[in-house]
Amino acid sequence: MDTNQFQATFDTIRREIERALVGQTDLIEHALIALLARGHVLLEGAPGLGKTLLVRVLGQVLACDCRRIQFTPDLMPSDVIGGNVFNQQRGAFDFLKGPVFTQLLLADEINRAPAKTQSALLEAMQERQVTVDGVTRPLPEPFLVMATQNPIESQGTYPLPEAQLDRFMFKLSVQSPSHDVETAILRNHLAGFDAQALDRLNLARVITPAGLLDMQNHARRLRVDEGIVSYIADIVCRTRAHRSLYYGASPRASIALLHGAQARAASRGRDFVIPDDVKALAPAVIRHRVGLQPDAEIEGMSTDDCVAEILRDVRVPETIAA
Amino acid sequence: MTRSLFTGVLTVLLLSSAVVFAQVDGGAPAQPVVEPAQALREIFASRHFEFCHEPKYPLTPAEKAWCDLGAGDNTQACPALRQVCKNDAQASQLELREPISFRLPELGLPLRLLLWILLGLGVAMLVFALVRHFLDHKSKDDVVRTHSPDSAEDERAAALARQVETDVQRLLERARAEAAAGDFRAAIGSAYAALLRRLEGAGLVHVEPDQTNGDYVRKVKQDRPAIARQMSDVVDAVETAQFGDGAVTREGFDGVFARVTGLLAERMGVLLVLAGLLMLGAACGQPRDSWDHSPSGRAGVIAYLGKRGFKVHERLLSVTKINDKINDSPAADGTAEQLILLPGAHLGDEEWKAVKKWILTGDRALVIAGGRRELPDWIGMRIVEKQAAHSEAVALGDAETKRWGALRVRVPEANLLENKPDSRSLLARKQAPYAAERWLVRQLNNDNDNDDDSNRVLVLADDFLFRNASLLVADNAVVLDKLLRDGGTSIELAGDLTGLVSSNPVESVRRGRLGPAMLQLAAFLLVFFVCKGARFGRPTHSQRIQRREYAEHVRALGLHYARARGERLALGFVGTYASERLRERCGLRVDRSLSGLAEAVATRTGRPVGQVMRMLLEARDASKGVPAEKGARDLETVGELCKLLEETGGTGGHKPIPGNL
Repeated sequence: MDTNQFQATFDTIRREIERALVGQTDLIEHALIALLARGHVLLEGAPGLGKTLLVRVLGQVLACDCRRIQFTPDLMPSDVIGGNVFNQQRGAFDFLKGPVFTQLLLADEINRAPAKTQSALLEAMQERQVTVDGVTRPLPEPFLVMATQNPIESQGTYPLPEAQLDRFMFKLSVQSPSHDVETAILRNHLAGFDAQALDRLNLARVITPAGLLDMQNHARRLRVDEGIVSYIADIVCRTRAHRSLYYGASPRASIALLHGAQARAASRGRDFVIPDDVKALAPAVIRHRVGLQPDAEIEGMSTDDCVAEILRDVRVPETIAA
Repeated sequence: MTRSLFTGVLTVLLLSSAVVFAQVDGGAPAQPVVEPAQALREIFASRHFEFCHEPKYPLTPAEKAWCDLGAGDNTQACPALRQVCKNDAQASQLELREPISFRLPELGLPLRLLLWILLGLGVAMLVFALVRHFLDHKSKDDVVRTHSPDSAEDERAAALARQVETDVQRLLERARAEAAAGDFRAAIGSAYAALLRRLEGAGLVHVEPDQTNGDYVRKVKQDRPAIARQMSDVVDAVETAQFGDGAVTREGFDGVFARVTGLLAERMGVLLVLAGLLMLGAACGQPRDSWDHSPSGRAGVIAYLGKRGFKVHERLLSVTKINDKINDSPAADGTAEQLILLPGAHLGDEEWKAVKKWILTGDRALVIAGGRRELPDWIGMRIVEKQAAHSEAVALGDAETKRWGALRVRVPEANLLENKPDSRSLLARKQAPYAAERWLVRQLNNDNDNDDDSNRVLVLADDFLFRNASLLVADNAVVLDKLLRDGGTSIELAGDLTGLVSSNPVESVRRGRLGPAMLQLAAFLLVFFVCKGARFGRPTHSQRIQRREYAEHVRALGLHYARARGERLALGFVGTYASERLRERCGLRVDRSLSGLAEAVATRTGRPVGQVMRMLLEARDASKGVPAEKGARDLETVGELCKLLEETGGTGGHKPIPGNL
């Protein structure tokens, strides 16, 4: 696969998804970039903005297996990863795969489950494998977790632990549609669109899972200039010394930024990364990996503000400015 | 805008002054004497004399008269003139001697004074602005240093800033030089830098260290979508060179450079069109670009005299200063000096007085070549305008025929002279002299200077003999040589350029006939104002004012408290403030107990009484300096108190809530 093929495929996938999911261009692009960079996505947004639809459409267009888990306070880890069940006929334990054994996993309202259940995903997300009773089983490739959380409700929720958050490559905010987009959605529905019957849309299967793996491998091979590497390191290191942050991003953030930038560069038809790729993805990569100082929180600052401040302070490589 | 306007006006004034003081050397270096015919052939062989090489060269009606006199017959020296005379091409300029009719009005003393005052004020304001800028720069440096105490880092940043080139032309030149040296990657960077600097100058982008190329493209797209596409192409190529792994080739650089220069040219396109229109407007009626090399010009005459052994120098200083010692004067070598007054030289009483003093105090000669002027009485001759037809031949006097031989002189319709009996006619038409000389008795400077005690004044009815076309007619060239030879070989020509150095700028503009040029300049300034607005005339990279905002100050103060573990102190302050506001808002007297206040606030906000009471107690303890207990969360209490204030009417000052609870 060359860069032009990569870009063409990427554009085709995006166009197909946009046929079903209107007005969420950035969300779609970031989700695809995360997928191609072998990352996972945490979506934050109000209900009804199309998060579930995105995963279903992705599964259809990418010809991938797709599952959904509704996280609830009584959800157990075995409900996610599966468990050993005694087979009376054979007189032995059979492993019953949980819903995590899929290619696209939608973890809906992940913060409604307690930390124990959330942590069941840790190994799956990082190692792409599941260990039950000492037996490790690999997950199918490609593997993408898209978790959602509702920012409005706080009663009865369990905030995700830092270790869990760090596993997500991007944290994206799903924006409410504008008036025009809202109108377009309504027109689509008037024309017969039904989110429960995606078959009627005749969405094309643009690529196979094997093709997707090819794309992932291609993105990893893109050239990254030394200046870009230094730029990424500068950004991430500054999060650890920022006055409004009491903890900064981990090296995992640097790696995520690097691979994300590679995937974005490939999606734009380039075989090298530019500072724009890094700058565009930095907020999505860093915002959930840092913690605000209490006084900064009182002042109404957000982690996005801190990231923006850091990006303003870091010198872009090859700039002509003094 | 006012400052920009001032800068523009000042620019005009300074430019006009600069023009006034400009020096032009019109002198020809001394050369070996060449025979007249050979000299003419050599001179008119130059392509500058288009009328000798270009058959379609247009002549003015006045110049056509030279054709009637046989100028086209000298095919050896000027092969194309015969054909030029035959064709119908006609220059639209009827009288080249006075090509620009626009003249600034004469100013009286008050206005002149006003002008000087304005100029002085302008210079003073410029100096003031520079000094203030310098001082501002210094003070801002001090402010910036307080933000970043790392002096080594400062030094590095300052050194880097000094290295940054911001001039577009120099950046383009650097790009070319780097390309020539084979460093195409750096060359592409320099070309792109030139583009960015131009866009910055146009106010479309602001070059900052944190801005990516994509940021610049997006900003340009917002304001000038028409050029964003081209810029995007340039950026793609630049980024490929900067971050890609392929080798950068000459073709790659050429492509980027062409696109960059194309964009730069497009940016200036409107200005150039306007400039062209203005130029066209000003040049209306002047189809030829070089008057000096036209048949009516004098470049050939000056060159001819040079080849004939004369040292010709064009006088720029005013004639009033002719008695001052001028280092570059041809008289400095000790030979006789001759001043030729051409029609373009404007002489008033002061000038004539200076000329008289000059000629009477040395071994000098004065030649007056026509012109519409009244001659002073001491010249002893008067020029009478246009009384002779060009059909009338000009004949040499008997003595001149004897000395010079039988020479023919032919000039177009000419003025005539009226002379006194003590003058002698050298060339004459039937009715009256055409050229006459008179000898003035010199004022002796010392006893040894008594060999030749009189100086020559030669007056010609017009300046036709001093025109290029005249050299090609009959024996005019030889006669001119003979006429001037008696006055010495060092000649100063006083003509159009003489006296450009004048007493005030407006006079300079008037004498230099720069009125239209000044108006064009003013129009250009106006165009720049329109296109660039207030940025015009200001430094491209003015130091941005960096001042800490109040919010930032408060934030910094808060951080200092936090670092010094001063949460307890902060809680004391906030608690006192919050208690007073809450009492005020709940309408409670100061002597009411803390529990009463807690109950009132709890009722108002719906919070548990115990929670409110706990907060108020912690605040009171903190304000009284009671040490915090282990595990106290003072900062959180501050936040809670702030929320409490918000719920009861905001964190601001005196806002009593109506009603007594």
